[in-house]
Amino acid sequence: MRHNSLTLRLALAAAALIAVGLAATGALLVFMFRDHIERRFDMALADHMEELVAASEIGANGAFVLTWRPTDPRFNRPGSGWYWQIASDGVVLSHSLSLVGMTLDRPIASGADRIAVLEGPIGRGLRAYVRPITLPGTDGVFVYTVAGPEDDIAADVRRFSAITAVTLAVLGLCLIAAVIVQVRFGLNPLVHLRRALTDIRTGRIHRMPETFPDEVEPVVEEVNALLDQNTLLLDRARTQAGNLAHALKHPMTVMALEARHVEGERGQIMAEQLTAMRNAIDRHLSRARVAGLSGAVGARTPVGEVVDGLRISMERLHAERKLVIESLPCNGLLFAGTAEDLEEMLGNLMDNACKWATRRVRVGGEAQQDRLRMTVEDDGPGIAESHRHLVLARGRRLDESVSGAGLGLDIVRDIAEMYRGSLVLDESPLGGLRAVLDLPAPLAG
Amino acid sequence: MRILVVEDDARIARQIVETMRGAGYIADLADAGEEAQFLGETEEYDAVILDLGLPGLDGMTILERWRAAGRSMPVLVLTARDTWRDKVTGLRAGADDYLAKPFELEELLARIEALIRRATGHASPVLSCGSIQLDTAKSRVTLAGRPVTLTALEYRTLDYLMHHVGRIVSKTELTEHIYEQDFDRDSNVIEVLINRLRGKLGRDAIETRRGQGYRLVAPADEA
Repeated sequence: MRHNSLTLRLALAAAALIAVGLAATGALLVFMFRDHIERRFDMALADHMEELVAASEIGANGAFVLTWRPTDPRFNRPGSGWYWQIASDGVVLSHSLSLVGMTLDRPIASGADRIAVLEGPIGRGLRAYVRPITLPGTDGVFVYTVAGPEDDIAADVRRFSAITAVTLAVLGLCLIAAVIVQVRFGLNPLVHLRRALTDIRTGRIHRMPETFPDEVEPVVEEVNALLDQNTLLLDRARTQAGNLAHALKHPMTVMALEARHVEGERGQIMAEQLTAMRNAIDRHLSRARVAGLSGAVGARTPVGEVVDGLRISMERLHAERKLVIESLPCNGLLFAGTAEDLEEMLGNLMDNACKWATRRVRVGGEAQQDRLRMTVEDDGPGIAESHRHLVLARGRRLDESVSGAGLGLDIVRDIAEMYRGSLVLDESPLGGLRAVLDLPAPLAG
Repeated sequence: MRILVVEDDARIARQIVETMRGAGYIADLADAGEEAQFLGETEEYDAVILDLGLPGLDGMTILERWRAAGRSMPVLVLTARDTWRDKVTGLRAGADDYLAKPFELEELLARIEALIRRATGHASPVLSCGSIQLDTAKSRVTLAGRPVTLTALEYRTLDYLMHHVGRIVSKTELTEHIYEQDFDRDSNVIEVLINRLRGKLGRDAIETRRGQGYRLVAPADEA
């Protein structure tokens, strides 16, 4: 469990509260037990007291007589801790056998019945029941004392405390375990929330599912609202980029056509500058239109449809060249991005391949776990290895005689990189150039 | 060869029309969607240059309606929207080629020539029929290697016949493809043109099929 964990926090808080509660309960139980035990002890002392009082008589000579002695053997075992004593005016008249050669503390002759704690004759603490009585036929006050060892009570309380402590500790541990289980179960929706967010990031789902508990639901709704807003803003920005390009290209067309009628160097300068403007617009707006990995949250594009559309387009655009455009089956392949971006990349690559091919162009794709590998190859002259990095550089074209802005490959590479992918050029088995696109694929399932 | 130019900007349209006419084409101009759709459905064109951003009816809708009505003339789409998505959509709607604005007039001309050649089944920009050669890119005609000087109308007539070599071309068809829209169409002029071409290319180069029309035949075929 990590340091900064909700489970840990909740478990610790619960443990603290449980510990305090159980300690208080334990203290209360022990207090009540001690009270109960003391009362039982005092009642036992009172019973013995009644026995003694009942056995006391004043003889005909006015002397104190004890007609019989309590039978409890504990009173007969010397130093047992169980004692009784009857005294009058500081003189011990009779005592238990266990008190041989000893006396209990001099009792106070006045007052009512009371429970007193005495220092015993051999150092043991005693709990004593003291009762002053005036027997019929005498004037003197007889003080009866019955005592038992206090540590008997203490021993019982200790034993009870130990059992209570163990019981409560076990109960506490069970409660904490229950809290942890409950917290884990209760926080489970957060785990689902995290998985759902991961799925959105990796493009498996478009929106958060709406199966979360009421407490998490507002967060889910906010995430969905954020996703919607993101899509909306992106669409708007892309539309505006497109509109700007459209708005600029129209007057540029007019200017370019008029510049043809401007004689000499001036016309040439105008034409050059217009070409530069056009290239800049193409370069920047084509990039602005790209959704990229962050802009295409949750997008899944079937590759087969895009390749088919492009193949038909290429066959028409390059109809005169009578090329054989072969597309290996791409059905079932998915691209984790927008169809526009995939079309832009494959369109440029296939268009280049068609411009250079002698007779054959081949497009293929394969899925490798969460990656999509698209290849576009031709049987044209290819590009020497030492020149390949040049065509990927911005705005470069190797052969000015082949039509096209020459910006195709570097834009393809930029789009691929916006999807954390890559474009690699190498040699095709067909003999010409092979362009390999590495792109993200949505996770299966 | 008769071409329809659909472009709402008068300055761009004028330049395109001038270039096309300069290359020996007859160019009709439509600057609004409805007019363009009507012309494309009723007139015979060898190619259409279609701007997609039109007031009223947009270019893509016009194209779809033409194709739905069975009009199969080659259409080159002219647009500032040049993403592959736009191109695929346009080509699927029935366009034959795509040219992004701003464009070079030379490229537009070359693409139109290529489209017409492709539509009539010719692979090379130089059309041949026996010893007659017609270079569509340079608008030049040679007979057995020697240059032949033709007037604009004569060139258009030969150009059309060369593109449809071996097939009988009626007078009406020829008139539709070589005359301006508002030209007074007189079939006698066609006969005069054919006779002048025969004079320059050889008597047997163009066959007359009475009641049907004309046919360009390679002199070698008859030899």
